[in-house]
Amino acid sequence: MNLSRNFESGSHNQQMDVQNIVSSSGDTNNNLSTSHSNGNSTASSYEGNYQVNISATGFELDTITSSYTGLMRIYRLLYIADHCPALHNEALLASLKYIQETHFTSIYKQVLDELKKQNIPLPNDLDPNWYEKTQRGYTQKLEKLDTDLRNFRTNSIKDSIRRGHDDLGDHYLDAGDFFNAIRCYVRSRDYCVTPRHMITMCMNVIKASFYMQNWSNVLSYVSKAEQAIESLESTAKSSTTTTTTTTTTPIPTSSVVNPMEVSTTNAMIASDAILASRLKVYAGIAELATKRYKLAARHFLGVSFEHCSNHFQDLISPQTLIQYVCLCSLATFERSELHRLIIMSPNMKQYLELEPSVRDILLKFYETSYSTCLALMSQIEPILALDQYLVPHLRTLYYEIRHRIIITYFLPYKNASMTIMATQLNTTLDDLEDELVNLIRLGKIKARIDSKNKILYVADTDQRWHAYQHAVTITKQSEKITRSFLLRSAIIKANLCVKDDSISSATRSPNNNNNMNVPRRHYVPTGQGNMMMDEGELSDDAAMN
Amino acid sequence: MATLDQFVVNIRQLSTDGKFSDLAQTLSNPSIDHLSKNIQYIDSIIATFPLPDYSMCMLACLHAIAKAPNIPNFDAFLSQVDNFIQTSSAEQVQYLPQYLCEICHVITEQLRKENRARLGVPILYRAIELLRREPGQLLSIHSDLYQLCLLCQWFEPALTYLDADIVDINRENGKFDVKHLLLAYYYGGMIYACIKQFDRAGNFFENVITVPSQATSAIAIEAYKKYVLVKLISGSIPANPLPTYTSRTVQQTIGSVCGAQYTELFNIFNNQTLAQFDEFVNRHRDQYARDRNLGLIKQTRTAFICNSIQQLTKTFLTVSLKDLANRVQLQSTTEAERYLLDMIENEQIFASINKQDGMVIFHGSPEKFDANNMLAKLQDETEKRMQAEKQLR
Repeated sequence: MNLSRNFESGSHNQQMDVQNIVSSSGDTNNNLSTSHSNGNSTASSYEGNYQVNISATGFELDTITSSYTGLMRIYRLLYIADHCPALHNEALLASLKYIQETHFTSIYKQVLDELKKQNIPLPNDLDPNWYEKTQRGYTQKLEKLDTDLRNFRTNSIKDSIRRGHDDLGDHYLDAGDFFNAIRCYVRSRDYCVTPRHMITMCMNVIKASFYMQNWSNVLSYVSKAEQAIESLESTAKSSTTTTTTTTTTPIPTSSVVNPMEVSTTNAMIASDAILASRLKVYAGIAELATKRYKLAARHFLGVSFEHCSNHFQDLISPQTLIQYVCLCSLATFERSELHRLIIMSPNMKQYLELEPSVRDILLKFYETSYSTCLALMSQIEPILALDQYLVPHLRTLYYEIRHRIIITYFLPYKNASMTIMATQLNTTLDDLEDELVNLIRLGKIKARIDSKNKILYVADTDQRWHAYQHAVTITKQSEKITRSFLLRSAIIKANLCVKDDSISSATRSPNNNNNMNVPRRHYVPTGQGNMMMDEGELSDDAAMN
Repeated sequence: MATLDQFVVNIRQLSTDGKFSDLAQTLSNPSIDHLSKNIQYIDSIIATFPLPDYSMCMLACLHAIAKAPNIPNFDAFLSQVDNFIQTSSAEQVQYLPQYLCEICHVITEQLRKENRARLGVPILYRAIELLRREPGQLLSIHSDLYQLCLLCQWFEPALTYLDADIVDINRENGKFDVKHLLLAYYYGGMIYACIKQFDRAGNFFENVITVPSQATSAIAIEAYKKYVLVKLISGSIPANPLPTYTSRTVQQTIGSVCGAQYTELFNIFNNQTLAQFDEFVNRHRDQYARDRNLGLIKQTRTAFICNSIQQLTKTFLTVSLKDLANRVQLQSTTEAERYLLDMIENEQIFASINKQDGMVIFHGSPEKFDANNMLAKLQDETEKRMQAEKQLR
């Protein structure tokens, strides 16, 4: 059952039982370390049709249904239905209810089929003819919009053509035909005159590309929209300055007009700010999807709390946002950045109040109680596993955070006992050793392991020795280079070059046909009997063994 | 017959007069190539040219014999040539180097066919002595000599010439072919690989690959394959496999022909485990067998294990033998111990094995660069470099 198949990255459908992995933290760490030593982890990477057990977390569907609206809600519900057996039925029924508010007939059919297959009782108020009705309605509206657009075109009023395209795009979006939606929106670009038109067009394209998961498109249009907003702001500024200059002239009527203008510009500025925040969210999710975690975190940090909780229901909820921020920043930010930008920021404080578990994780990380931090992280892991934008990166982020913990843990020490480290990091000694070997090989820690006493020592670099060693290597290298240059100058002086006789008409005799191999081969009686051997290779082979 | 007599008288005269350049021109003029047309009388003609005064004429006669479709009595010819080389006058021969070289080529070819390479080595050795103007000059005879040495596995004569740096190439009046240059370095590289001086072998193969070329030679491709293997065995894995002045055509051909089997080895060496290495080698075993590189491949495997152990020295201070064997994917602790002992003896790593608790302790290098001889060596090397660079200018 792949209703939310859009969001699955893996091509193979393995039934991965994450249940076992998630319930005990010891196992999680085992998988982490085996995946390190193997280089490629097949277990515990959320691919295919994995199932999540959320019994330990008290997650409820209401959080999704209340925080989201529109298409986003439907997609999230379907994703949960796919991957969480406990909430499966509930999610499907809820999603059915919301689908009926749109024209998204293809998904409706799939959900209904699924419900019927699994013999889930349907709600009594289900309209059996909804499907045909909506199909008809959809095609009717499509025709109407098409004819409208054609009329507008013949009238050639730019603005109405633009709006016609927009309406058509919206209609396609409502029905889930994202490709056509983007096409219509992009067509409307030709008829955009003011920056505000541009912004609307960009927002529409971004929305449609977002649902299509075309992240590069999203990012490019986000930057376009931001430029348009800037130009809008500069024109707004110049218009407000003109209004202020007019106030200096003592005309009684103007004082009545001015507050109105100022208030409208204020409203515009406020809505622009909301737009800007919205763009940041889109950009953040796009960066997350393309694995640029640090940028994603920075984008999300710029989203103000009021905007997020009041205006973005069709996009992201504050809880999800702070979850994203937490993971991305823990994996990529330095401690000072973490402190300054997240823990101390008043904006972020409001988000953190909403999600106490995330707040705890951040604080515990910052005060270096790593074992509690890691335990908490594994606790909320099943909830995170139900978020389709986060799931492909969940493993990577967790590894990154773990690595960071190890690195920051070891920073102040000259030698550290590995047993203590293992208890701090909730793993066994052997796994820790494997992880450390991996980290040292990658160059992230400069240390050496004393396997007998299980101590990690800081690697001492003998600068002097390295310098001398370097000098010796350089002399060898320079000798080799000088020799080859001497040879090369001799070759060039003698004007020698490998040429193909069919091409050049040089007087020099050509020499590089494949026939060359022929004269070199000959029959050599060897101990193994008469094998055809290359004369050089014969001696080579015999000498080598 | 009359023309022949006249010709012989003519060249005698030029010889006694000492007009060597004219003589050279007369002799090498193909339109009056009487000698080769009258091969049957060549023996009597030779008798009339006592050495060393008439070296050039003698050389021309020998050359005529060599160019003939088949040589009647090869051993006698060999002894003639040997005699000639030992008793001729170098300055005369310098006028007609290409003749001597061609004679040597013919001899080499014949000996190789008859599998009597050992006979030819002293002859060619002396020929090079005779012909080269300075120790740093390369002749086409070098490639012949190296070839024969490889065939009979007698390396000392070759090594005397191999160790000398080449700064000049004898044009041999336009007859020096690039093929000889490529072959000389290719065979030279193989000789070095046979005596296990892999660094220098790698340099030689690299020289083959970087000869300026507009088309790729099969020699260059074979040289590249060996180059990869030798570089891996010597343990120095360069950042980019080929120097930047390799010509574009060669790079492209190498990429397309041997990329999968050979260049890939570099990546495997750095990143992967012994089991994966073995699997890769098995997959391409046929290709390696066809290129006659299996011996080198076996050595590469040893080098791979040594490389893995060396990486471990960077991450561990002490490690148990069992753990070492596991991480490097060796069969047993005894095998691991064997490799360790080899490496310690060859001074590739510095470690000690404690058999009591089965631990290996890695030390730093004991080389402190304190001793006088070390400093002296460094100074020496630096001076040599400066000299070489002056020469380069």
